[in-house]
Amino acid sequence: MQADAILPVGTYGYQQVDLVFLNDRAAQFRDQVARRLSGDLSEDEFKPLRLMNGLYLQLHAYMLRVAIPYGVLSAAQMRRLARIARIYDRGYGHFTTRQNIQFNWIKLEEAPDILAELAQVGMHAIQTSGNCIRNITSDEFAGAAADELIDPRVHAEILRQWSTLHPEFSFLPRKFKFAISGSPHDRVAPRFHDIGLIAKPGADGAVGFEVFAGGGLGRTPAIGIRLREWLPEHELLAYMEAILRV
Amino acid sequence: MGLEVRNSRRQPGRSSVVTANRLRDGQVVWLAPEGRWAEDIAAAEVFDNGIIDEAIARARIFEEERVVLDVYGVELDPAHPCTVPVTERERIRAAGPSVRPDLGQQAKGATIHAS
Repeated sequence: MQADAILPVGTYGYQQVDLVFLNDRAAQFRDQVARRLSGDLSEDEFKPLRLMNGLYLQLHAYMLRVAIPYGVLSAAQMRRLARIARIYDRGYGHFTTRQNIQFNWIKLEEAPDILAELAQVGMHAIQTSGNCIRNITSDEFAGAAADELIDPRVHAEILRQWSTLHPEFSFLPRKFKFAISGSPHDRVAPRFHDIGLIAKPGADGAVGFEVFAGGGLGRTPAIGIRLREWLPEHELLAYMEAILRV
Repeated sequence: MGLEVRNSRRQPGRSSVVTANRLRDGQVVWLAPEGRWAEDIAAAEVFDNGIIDEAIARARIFEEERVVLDVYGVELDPAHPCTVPVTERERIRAAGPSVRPDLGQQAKGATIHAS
């Protein structure tokens, strides 16, 4: 997508500066893969680099996890994912509960080509692995639900930009997950996230967020606690930072 | 618990094979005679557990040569007439995804199948 293209609805429109960054990142990973294959990098040196680009070595093959911020895809992006599945994988991908997509049969030396293809449509695999803030999930009916107080994609995007490559939150003790709903009805499982946000009307009619924290699934599942009945919208990022710094 | 520890629990008198993932595509491979790496566990060289650590140590040269990574030993089920691992994890690695029987070695008519 070019900078002067029509902006997409419901998601962030990548600007030229973003596209340059993603292309640089793909080129950087291409160099890292080449150095691994030539022996300049050992697996111990290379592993954290490939994980920072969403590339895992799993049971049967390499797996690449691609971020789909708050689960929103354009038609062009969906077509590109399908192309990647056809050309570089075995004709399919796996959409995950965190609204990402995983390709399960990736070849190491083709991974940089895939990142370059993703970059062309404003996609990447950054922060889909490691102890950082992962993809922010939202209501699958975001922007279309009748009971919505706000469109949660706006705040999900603000949180995405704030958390992307955030130096303080790139090496947390464990991975960290957000969910956000624009509806007071729970469709995002907020109590099962490190931070869950549910839009709620305030006393003066302004919309704020009910905040849950400390929840999670996986090996040590925990139900989150209600940390705040109603958080004013303008305090959102400061409050999130305060939780993360505890 | 790491793979190294989990796969070091071997019973005397039993046999094991050596496995790894191929560096370039992550494919599960098994050490076969003459230093080849086979995709089908049926082609794997079988070692007595008394000498498997030595075989693993020798196979690590292929990590240094960037052919494979994560070399370790896999104990075989003595009750099975074919080359079948004891653990379910390794049976699935040998066969292919349990949710996609059309993929992996199981799709190529291999004798092993993920249950």
